[in-house]
Amino acid sequence: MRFIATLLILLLVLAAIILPQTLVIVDETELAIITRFGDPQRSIRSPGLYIKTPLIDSVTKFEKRLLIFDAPAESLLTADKKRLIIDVYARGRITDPLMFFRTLRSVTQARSRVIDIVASELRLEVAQDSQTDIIKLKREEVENKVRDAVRPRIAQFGIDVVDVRIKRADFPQAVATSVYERMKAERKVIADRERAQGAEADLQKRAEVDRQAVEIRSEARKRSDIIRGDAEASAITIFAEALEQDPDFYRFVRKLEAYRVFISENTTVVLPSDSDLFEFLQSPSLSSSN
Amino acid sequence: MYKQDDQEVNLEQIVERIRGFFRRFGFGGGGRLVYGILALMVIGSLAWLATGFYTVEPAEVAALRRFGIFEDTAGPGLHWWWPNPVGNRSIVDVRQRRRLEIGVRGSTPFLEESLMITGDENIVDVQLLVQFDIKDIEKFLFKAVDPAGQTIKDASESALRQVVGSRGIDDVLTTEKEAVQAETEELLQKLLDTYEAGVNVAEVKLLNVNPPSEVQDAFDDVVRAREDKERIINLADAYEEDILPRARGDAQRLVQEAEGFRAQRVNEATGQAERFKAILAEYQKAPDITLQRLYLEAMEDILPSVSKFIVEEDVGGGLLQLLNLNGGQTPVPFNPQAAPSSGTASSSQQSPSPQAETTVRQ
Repeated sequence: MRFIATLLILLLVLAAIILPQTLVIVDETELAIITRFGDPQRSIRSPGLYIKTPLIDSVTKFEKRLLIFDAPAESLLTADKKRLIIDVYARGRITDPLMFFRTLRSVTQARSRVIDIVASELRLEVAQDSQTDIIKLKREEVENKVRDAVRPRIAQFGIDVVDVRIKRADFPQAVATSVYERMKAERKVIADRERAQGAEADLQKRAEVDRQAVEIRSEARKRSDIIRGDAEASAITIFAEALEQDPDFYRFVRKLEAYRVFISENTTVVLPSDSDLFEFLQSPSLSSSN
Repeated sequence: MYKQDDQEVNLEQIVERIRGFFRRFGFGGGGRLVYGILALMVIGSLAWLATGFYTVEPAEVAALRRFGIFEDTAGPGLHWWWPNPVGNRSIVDVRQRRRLEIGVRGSTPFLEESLMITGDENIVDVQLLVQFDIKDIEKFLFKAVDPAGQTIKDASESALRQVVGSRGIDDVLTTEKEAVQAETEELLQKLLDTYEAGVNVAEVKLLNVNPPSEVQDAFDDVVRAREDKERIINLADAYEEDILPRARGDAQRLVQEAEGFRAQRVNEATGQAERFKAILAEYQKAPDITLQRLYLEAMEDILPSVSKFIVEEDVGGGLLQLLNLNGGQTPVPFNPQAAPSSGTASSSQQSPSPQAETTVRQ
């Protein structure tokens, strides 16, 4: 019995030593290769529990998830000889761990190699495009061209590049200063134009208003004159209609009225004594009167 | 799997202790030791299995792996899953809305991130807020490195700059903010899906879009200029409101005055005409005597207040013979022809009485 107990303990100890050497758990986020004395035996691409020869074989694991390759910002010359500071990044994942192990061995090393390749391709591509293309017109095209160009080169390392993106494309500081100056000038043009348009609108409006006022007044004057003329005409018609019944009598009556008006206190009147008025002044005789 | 080394150490210690325990109770001998060891193994296993219990809080999801393979997810509650090293569980808060700021951290601006080129080669200062949550926990955990950090940040910056780079600065600053947000969101989601980040972009919002501080004054001046323009146009409108009603008022006055004049004129004419007709009707009944009466009445009215000279025609000799009856005025001689009579009234050919002219000359 003591023997069995010793055996049990021995087994436990052995298991504790050998199991970790034999069993390999590869996670969802990992890739692995089994090497025998540094010589790659096989690669493991899907997660799970694997067995290897204890002590002789060793396991190297790599990141299976999408890797970040963030290139430092670089000042590049475009086709139209303008400088842009371009910050680019790539995304890719290790698809062939064996190839990756043979060529690069570590993710850190991979990062610098991939970044170098992306940066040099980008430099070539940017040199063929104008500044406007990169900023506005063909950004995605540039990105895709670089991606397609680096893809086979990076595939040699067992890495599949999924995407290359321009994160930033900015003017260098010196250029930015002159851009600011240009922007200020452009704004001044706009501000001046707005103010001038204001003045234009103002003058136009006032002139229009003045014209309308003149129109309104003269139109009214016209109507007024027409009405007054009409009034005179009506008056004349009314008079004529009445007066033509006896024009002579009218003349008589009207003149008498006129005398009343224009003969005033300051007037001196010379009357002949034989005037009809004085008919009876000297002798009352009805016969002489007619 | 490295934890098994620890377990080994623990086991040895535990075995020793348990042995002592058995001995104390008088259990000696190999047989008991074997049972002891077996019991120990069972207890150890049970204790290990017990560490597999875990709870998931509301809004959380647990992703479960066995031997590294993703098997299942578990929602809120008490669960059991294989403990290390066989199993593995990652608990993630999936409903939490995560925030990412571009160009600003809290209230500190990050110019390096926020200054970008517009399509018309101007520079604009844009601050962006991205809100996102996890839509696919499997992808979120296993497909991309740092999906909620560097991955989404890089993608956001790239997307924002591409979208801003496709427009003029005035559009970005004013009319197309919404479009910038929508396009950035769409592009960002597309990128994240390409990267299998398992992230859902819930909202992309422009926090601040400004001209860079270097040119802020110039942009402000444009705003001021627009306000000046508005003000001037408003003043012109006010001028219109002031002038035109007055003009219309004047016009009304002119027309009304004319209308008044017409009424007056017609009324006067009608009145005078009617008066004449009335007098005429009476006159026609006795023409001669009426003429005389009218004449005499008129003379009565006129002559009392005027200076009068009565001249004897037969005497002759003009002015010297004039008698000054009332004052020292010198009369002007005239030919007294105008004694009114019925003949005067009826003969229309006769020229206007010289009386009038002469007296006026005074």
